[in-house]
Amino acid sequence: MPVGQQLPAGLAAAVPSHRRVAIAMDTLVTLEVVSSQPAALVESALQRALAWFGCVERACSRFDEQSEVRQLLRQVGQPVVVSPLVFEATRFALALARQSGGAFDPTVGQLLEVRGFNRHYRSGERLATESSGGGRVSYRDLRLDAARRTITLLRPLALDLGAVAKGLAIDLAARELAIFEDFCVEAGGDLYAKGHSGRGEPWRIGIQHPRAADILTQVLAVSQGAVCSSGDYERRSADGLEHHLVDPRSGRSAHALAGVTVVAPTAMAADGLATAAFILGPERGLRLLEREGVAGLLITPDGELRATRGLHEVTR
Amino acid sequence: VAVGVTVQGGRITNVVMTQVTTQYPASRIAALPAQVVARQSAQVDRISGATYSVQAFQQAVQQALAKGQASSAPIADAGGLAAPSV
Repeated sequence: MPVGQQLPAGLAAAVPSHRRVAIAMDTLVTLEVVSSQPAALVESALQRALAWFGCVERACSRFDEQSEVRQLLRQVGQPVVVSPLVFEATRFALALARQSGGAFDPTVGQLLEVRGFNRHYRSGERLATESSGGGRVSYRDLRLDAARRTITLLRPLALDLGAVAKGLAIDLAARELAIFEDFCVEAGGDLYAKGHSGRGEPWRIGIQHPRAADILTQVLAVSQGAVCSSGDYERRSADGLEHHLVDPRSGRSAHALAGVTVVAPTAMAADGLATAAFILGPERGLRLLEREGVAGLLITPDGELRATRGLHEVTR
Repeated sequence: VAVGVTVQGGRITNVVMTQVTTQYPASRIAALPAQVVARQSAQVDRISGATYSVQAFQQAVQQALAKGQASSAPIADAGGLAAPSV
């Protein structure tokens, strides 16, 4: 692992940039701290920050039989005490489900499984689905008890925290790095950035165009906040016809948008809202983002852009 | 870019990019060279986009695996990533 990695000449900066890259949650995690503090201090903070990704993944993965989320399925109808991580992720997902009128729903796990999103990226093993077929489930089949920190599944269902867990891990990693002025935590195109990059400017974040891999739709300048995107162009079903952003109301992939990017104070909110807005489509998705007070950009399959009123504040 | 793979009990338990020599984050390992050029000209620090699966560059991991535990292998070929070294 490079320590005190310097930017190339021409972009020379006095402050060294420390970077760590790893694979977690089926994607690439890149942590970067720009700091002149002792390398050992920065490296140990990076290590602690990275550890959160493993921690959240172990608790929340629907692909891992040992995860807390999968354990819930063994005790349908019973309140199960869960870790604060799983409880908070589920509570947020449930709140988002209500806010979006069910367009976002953390109980879509089984819908995803039957579409072929059922293979663990580390082991390659396919999920042995235990949630009973037949019968539609929804977020209304979840009961949370904050005082006891329990989750009850009223019916057999596969809880999918995929749309919020990565954001949560990014937020936890960012909190670990908050002792530094300048850092960025990125996981597979979702990120939290604070302060300045190695160039001494706010972090410049390009928004990937959903239909042209070599084009950026916009460039944002971020000095404190999260940027998360949802899109139909990375995770497709085996037949290529569907993607992983399933509308729980129709049981099919949502097709009114190609990509959504949200800028919010936390990555969990940005991550979840991007998914919710994607499923809601351009009009209702935009209204949701405005109502929640976050900035966002919605891109239709034709390349038409819809931006919230606040987006220009982070666009340059 | 070099990748180190840890195998325990026949399962991949950890994959770490042990050396990152690209100016821009190695977040688009499977990117086309053209994309790298576009990103360089745009001078961005990160790209926000739909979450890509590491299964997209599993080939690179397989190469590292073929070399055995705790080894590292260059995977620049997987993406044709031609960013300048630092």
